[in-house]
Amino acid sequence: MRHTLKERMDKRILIYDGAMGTLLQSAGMQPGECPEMWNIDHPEAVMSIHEAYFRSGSDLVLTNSFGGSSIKLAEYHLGDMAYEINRAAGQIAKAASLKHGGLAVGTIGPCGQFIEPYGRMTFDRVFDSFKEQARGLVDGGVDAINVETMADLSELRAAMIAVKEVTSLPVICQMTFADRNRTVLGTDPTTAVTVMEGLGADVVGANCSGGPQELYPVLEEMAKITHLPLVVKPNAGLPQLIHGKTVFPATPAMMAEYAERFAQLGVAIIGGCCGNTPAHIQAISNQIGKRKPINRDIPYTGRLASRTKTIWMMGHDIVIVGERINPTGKKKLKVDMQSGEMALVQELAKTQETAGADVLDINVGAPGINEKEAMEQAVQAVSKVSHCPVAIDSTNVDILETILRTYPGKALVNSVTGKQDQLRAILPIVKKYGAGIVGLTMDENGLPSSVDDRIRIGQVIVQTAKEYGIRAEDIYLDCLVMTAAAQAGAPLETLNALRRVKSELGVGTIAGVSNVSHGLPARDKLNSVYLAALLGAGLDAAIIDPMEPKNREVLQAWSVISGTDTGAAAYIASNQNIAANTAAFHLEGMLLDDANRLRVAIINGDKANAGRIAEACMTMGWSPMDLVDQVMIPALDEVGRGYEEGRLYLPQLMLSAEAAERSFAYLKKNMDPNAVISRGKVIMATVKGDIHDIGKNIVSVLLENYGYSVIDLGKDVPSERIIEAIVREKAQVVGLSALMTTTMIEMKKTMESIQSMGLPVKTIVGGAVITPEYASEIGADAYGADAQDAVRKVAELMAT
Amino acid sequence: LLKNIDNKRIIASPEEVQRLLGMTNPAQNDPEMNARVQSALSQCGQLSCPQGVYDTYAITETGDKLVIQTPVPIVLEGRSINEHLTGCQRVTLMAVSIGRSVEFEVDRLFCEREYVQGMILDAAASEYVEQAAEVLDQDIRMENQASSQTRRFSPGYGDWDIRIQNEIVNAIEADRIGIEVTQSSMLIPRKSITAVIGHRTKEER
Repeated sequence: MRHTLKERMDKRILIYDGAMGTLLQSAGMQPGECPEMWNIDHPEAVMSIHEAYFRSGSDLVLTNSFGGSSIKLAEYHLGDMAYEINRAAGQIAKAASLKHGGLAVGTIGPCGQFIEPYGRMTFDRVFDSFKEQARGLVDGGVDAINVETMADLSELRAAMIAVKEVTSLPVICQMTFADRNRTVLGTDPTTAVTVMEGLGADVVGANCSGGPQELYPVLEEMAKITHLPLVVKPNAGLPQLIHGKTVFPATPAMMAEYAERFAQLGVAIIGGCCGNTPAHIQAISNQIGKRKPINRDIPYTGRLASRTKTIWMMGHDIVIVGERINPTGKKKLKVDMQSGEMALVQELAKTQETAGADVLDINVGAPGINEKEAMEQAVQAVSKVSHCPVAIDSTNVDILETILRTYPGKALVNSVTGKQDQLRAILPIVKKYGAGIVGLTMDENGLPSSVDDRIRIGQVIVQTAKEYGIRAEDIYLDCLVMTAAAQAGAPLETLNALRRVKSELGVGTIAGVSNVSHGLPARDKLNSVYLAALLGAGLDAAIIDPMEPKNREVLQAWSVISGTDTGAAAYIASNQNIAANTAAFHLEGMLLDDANRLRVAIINGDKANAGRIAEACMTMGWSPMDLVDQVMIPALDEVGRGYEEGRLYLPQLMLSAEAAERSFAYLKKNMDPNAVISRGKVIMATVKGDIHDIGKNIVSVLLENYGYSVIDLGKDVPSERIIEAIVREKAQVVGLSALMTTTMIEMKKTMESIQSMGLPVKTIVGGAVITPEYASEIGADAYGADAQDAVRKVAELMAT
Repeated sequence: LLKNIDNKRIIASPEEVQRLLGMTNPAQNDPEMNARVQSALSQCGQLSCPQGVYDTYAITETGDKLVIQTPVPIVLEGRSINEHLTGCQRVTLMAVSIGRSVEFEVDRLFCEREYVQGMILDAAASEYVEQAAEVLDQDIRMENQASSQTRRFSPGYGDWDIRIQNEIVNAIEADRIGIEVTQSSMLIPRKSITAVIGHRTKEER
């Protein structure tokens, strides 16, 4: 009887195989040919590559199906053959593995296109394509599936969910990492592992990437946190182009040396990706021999994740779940959600995150709001501006499934009760899409008053979850905070229940603190005292308003008392300037104001909504000029400062410019034609002979946003045209750009003509080759070092 | 010699594009920008048909200046290029262009007020043509394995005056792949590169 992957991993470190594509090329595959088609046209060649790896010491080989999704195959017009090609790939690898006593692993690589919102591909199309591929591989007889080389967490999720729908075979899951140990879309190793664990991967790790030295810190981080076995399959170093060929520099000896280091980390499966040949695998196999993997013994821990950040739900600091995104009793927020604009939602997400929220609860339930649509929009909007994972505050199964399916991370479902029909509807979804779950200790009979009854319901929830394969560590029980005014002593019962849940059920605990103060004045006092009491009873996560100063005080003090704020350093730092600190979070009044929404839209570069918000401002009675002066320019200044201080890059500055421009376009279109928004006229031109205009265009855009009328003459503009425009337009300022040493001279000539005609115009120059010295040498009134600097200098010139 | 450069052989680096955009601080990883850079690079691959022309000529010394023996000989002015090619018996002049389609797309994006996408695509195209030149560079080395080669050197490096562009383009007839030189010695299409690689006889051992 053949041993399974798990049985083999228990016995000794397994050796994976090396590259496929380069060996196919050596076997005669031509550039432009589809490698996967060789499964059909030249099965014997693919077979002999598998055999070569088995003979070199591989225990597992990967099918020739890396690019076998129908989306990828469509590049060769072979999309229709996806199933056949993958089944053939599975059959060939299976035949080879039977001959050599190894295992065949069906591989699924990326489809080559980004999923929304980064690309045009929909999640469902990618999912369907992977599902068909997985079915082909499984029907071909593979022993396990490997989802590999994923850079996008969304795509990884689509593949994992698809595979799990097709088969219960073991799944190995790997992402590829770039600079700074993150994937190109910003996912770190801990977050990758968190999502893989949630989706039921059996082995997790990394492959491809720069090479073994780049993957070592990635595996090191993973080894510290995951209870699952680890796999690594690095490239043979960073690819280099030598003599017209892509060459991987790592020798077999170098790969073997790293294999040893990976074995020391406790990695259970070691192989090579691009650039690794049977010789590399032989060297790795010789180095590793037949030893057992190191016993890592890491316990499973409950975590949530966004695309770019992981939150530890237990055993670290208290987790703050921000409760502010909830339209109940908030008219403006409701309107924002109804319109689909979600600008206020985004602002609340950012402010709560800044105020210390770890997770953001999202509730869109209110009369007149289409909950499903609004929830989808809100989750997407929040994910765009915040690194916090989300808690989906809904009990609607359809909504939960829609959101969880595509959420690029591990979300929290808030919530289920102990009602059987509800548990059986929601828990399978939580398991399938890899989420955490909040369980309320109430059931069909309502809210029990005794502690024993709450524990009993808690047990039912934990037990039922276990049936579906959900671990206790992913459950956060809410023992339900009672209103102090309604029933004397009830809040204390909740504390007792919480202590017992922690000690008896092994789950996490969570509480919606502010319930305690319903119907009473000065709620912040009650809330903060009760928060302190809950912390003392061992609460893991608090659903609170993180912007509420009293809550912040309690949390800050608690960090000192519980010892997480070592040496009270954070406490001391923030209490030296209490006045400034509390003021920063009194944003309530500002939040609800249209002008502030415009400010935020410009700062965030939200061009989709900037026009509409400007419209809203005008209906509220703002005059266009006031809006430009008091809102848009201060917002652009704020972004400009970020750019000058190096916190923001030019493309980010321009995102804000794009948004400001949309507002501006609206103002212009709807303005009284007699009213003019202009603080002066500027002529812009790239001088004669110079055909570069991007830098000049950027300056023009920024100047327009700052309220100047810009007449952009384009590139390669002779001095006569510039002079003529100055005279005709009666411009106050002219800006000249030159990018090359050969065209600097033309700039000088243009300056001379302007001077000789004695035109009353100020001049500013800039461009790659221009220096401040050259600017003053040719008699320019100002020099713009970069786009933002140019804007400031123009303002100065206008003022003189 | 005229060559079509296979897009598949061009390995462009997203990090380099980010560097060109001034996004140099590793602490500020911006996933949205990273993704936009990636997609701009793949757009370059889809839109452009990179081509190169190159030819090899003898080089001689006249007085203290090197002269490339093209049909109309090219006299090399400036210290850096003369030093760079010292000891070479032959040089290959090359020109590479990715055509005008990406350039048009950049202009279109600016017209449609998609400045950020335009900037990113422009920077991606700069890196793309550089790596297209790298592919041709490697082919030239491949075809001249009997000699050793200098690094690729382009007008504008060191004190080599860019006004030499016209002579290089004329010599190898780079107009065959659509390259023109403006009066101010700029190349059209903007995403084009000319360069020289020197060949030295390998020393006998």
